[in-house]
Amino acid sequence: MPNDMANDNALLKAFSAAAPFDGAPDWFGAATAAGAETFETLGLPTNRTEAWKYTSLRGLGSLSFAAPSADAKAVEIPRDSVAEIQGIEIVLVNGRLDESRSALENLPVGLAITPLPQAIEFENGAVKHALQDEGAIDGLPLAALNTAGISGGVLIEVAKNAVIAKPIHIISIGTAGDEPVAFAPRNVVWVGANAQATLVESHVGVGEGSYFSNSVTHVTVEDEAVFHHYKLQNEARSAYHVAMTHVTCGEKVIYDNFALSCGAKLARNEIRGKLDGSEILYAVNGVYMAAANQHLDNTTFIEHAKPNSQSREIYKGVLDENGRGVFQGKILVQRPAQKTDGYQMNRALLLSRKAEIDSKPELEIYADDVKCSHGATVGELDDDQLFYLKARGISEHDARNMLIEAYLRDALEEIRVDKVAEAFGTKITAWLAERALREDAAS
Amino acid sequence: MALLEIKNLHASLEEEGKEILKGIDLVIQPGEVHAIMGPNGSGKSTLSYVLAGRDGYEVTEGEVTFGDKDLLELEANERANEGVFLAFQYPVEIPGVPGMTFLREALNSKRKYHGEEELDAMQFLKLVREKAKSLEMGDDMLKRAVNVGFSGGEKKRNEILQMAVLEPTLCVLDETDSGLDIDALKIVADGVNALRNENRGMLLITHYQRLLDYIQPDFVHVMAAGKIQRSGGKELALELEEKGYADFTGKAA
Ligand SMILES: Nc1ncnc2c1ncn2[C@@H]1O[C@H](COP(=O)(O)OP(=O)(O)OP(=O)(O)O)[C@@H](O)[C@H]1O
Ligand SMILES: [Mg+2]
Repeated sequence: MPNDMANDNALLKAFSAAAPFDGAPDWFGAATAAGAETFETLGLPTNRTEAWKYTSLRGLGSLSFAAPSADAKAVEIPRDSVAEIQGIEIVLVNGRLDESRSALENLPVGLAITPLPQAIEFENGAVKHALQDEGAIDGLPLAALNTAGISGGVLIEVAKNAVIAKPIHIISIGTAGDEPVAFAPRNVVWVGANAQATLVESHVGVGEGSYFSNSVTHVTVEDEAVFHHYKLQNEARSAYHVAMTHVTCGEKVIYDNFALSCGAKLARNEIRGKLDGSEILYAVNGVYMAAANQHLDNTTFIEHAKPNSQSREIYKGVLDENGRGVFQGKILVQRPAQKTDGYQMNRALLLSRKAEIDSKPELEIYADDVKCSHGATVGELDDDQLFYLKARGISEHDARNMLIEAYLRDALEEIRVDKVAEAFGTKITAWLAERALREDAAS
Repeated sequence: MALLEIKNLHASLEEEGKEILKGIDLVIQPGEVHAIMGPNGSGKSTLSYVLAGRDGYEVTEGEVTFGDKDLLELEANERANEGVFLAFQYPVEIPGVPGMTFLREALNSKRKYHGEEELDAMQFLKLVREKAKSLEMGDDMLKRAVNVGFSGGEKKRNEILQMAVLEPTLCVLDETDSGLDIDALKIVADGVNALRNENRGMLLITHYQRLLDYIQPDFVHVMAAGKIQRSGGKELALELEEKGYADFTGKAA
């Protein structure tokens, strides 16, 4: 495929050109080169790649992306789009840290936030490990592409035993003019033993221009720490969003992740978790809401490496018009991981005949004493419930919206931080209001 | 003008084409309470659904007028807003929709329909609390999602609460007495009686004469095989209690 290859090269160039890491140590250069090499070998995935069977990035290859210019920093934070959280804010614009609008100083005791280039220069162990980890890019073309041309990001460190009450809020803004831009944020999070913290990510866009955000986040949660990790993907509707999150949990960790996806033209939210300890409570949940011409993919991989841990996974989606949803969930239980308790469920609600969902749940189990279940449901709104509402005077249109809202809000119960559940709830309400406007306009 | 006039109503199941209602005639004047009794499967609930405007039934013959309106022309929500209320035989649970949000939306839909101002959350809460009190429904019940976690009897009480709040002109109660203990029956009956007035009509579907001790009907009808077989005063209910439906079904009691 010479054509595809030319596209791959162009992408690689766009990313590499963006990298602001002059004077970085040699190991960093080597990591970048390894990323480029892996990407060149794997190429941009299409439906022929098993892991990308339902989500092709072919469309991406034909766009010519440029590296973002540095003056993009001037954009306002689109407050209507980001999660409404009183947090410790870190602002990235087109993948680069905007230091002037980021809280890097006067942080609560036990919390340190360092720009990624600095952390690389200081040879931070967590960063070094994350960037050199072959497992983080092996067979993962987009993660490799990110490594080949990291735009920027931060290192977040929560010290051992520290309890950080205020959520840390990464706001990643994408913005482009007439020419599409591509960028690759890379964030590294290290949560020390017995510490507690909350991280919220808002991925949003400004303007109508098309951009491609290809992010990678590493999260290491040490023994007995509690880490809440929530993500709002509310990118511009012309944007491409591909995100990989690598999570590693130690003994007795509580990690809960929730992703709300409603933006972008095409988005893939992928989380790979390694449960490298016993008695871990690991949860990855989410809600996705797709309208016309949107394609939203949630892909998860959970590896139980040690005995007695629990993983929970509940995704709920609503697909309107010709919106498409993809759910791929794999649970791998290694031989030593006896007494693993794994549960995985994807529920999708189709609101239109043209909407589509592909679900692929998978279990791979090598231990013999485990409790694992998985499932997927596809449904429409319940006729009895609709009639009950209408019989009380509520219009078909309002009745449907009430039921969709109830269905989606139910998923928010999985979020352990109330303020975040509330903030995400308002995004659901906003999505429904937008949907109502579309319907009114169509009728 | 009659409140409700049903003339030779025939209705079939849309999918199977099976005819359930086979020529119903019934007139309810304002202020009247009618009771319909009849064996299981005779079509009582079907009649209530056809009146309320549920999808899935096809009216093949006959007409239904509500005041001066052709009821069958209206959507289910329009019928409700015009003043038709159906207390369901099996009230539906709607997880995730708070009961109060639902009922406020219902009341405001009706107010909007009639060009009246909508009630805000505070005004509404005051109104509901007042009505709920007489039905002995506490705040904890009002806080829950629609019918979720309600016992059978509580669901029925909740139907009456909705009726009290929405103040319909035609109340169709489908076996609201089934599943109620003696005290709850009394509470529900009091709730229904409180709504009786010269403008409001009621259609009580029931299997038990006992309800009619509490809510005295003006007329009693026997429905069997999709038709009203006999009509009379409340003494007819007593007769049915004694003899069963054998006369109407052709089977021995
Ligand atoms: N959706 C449906 N599909 C198939 N049959 C139906 C459906 N709805 C009603 N029927 C049939 O129509 C007949 C009348 O049912 P309906 O519920 O109206 O009876 P009913 O008089 O209310 O009975 P009950 O006293 O048990 O409540 C029954 O034979 C029932 O099985
Ligand atoms: Mg019935």
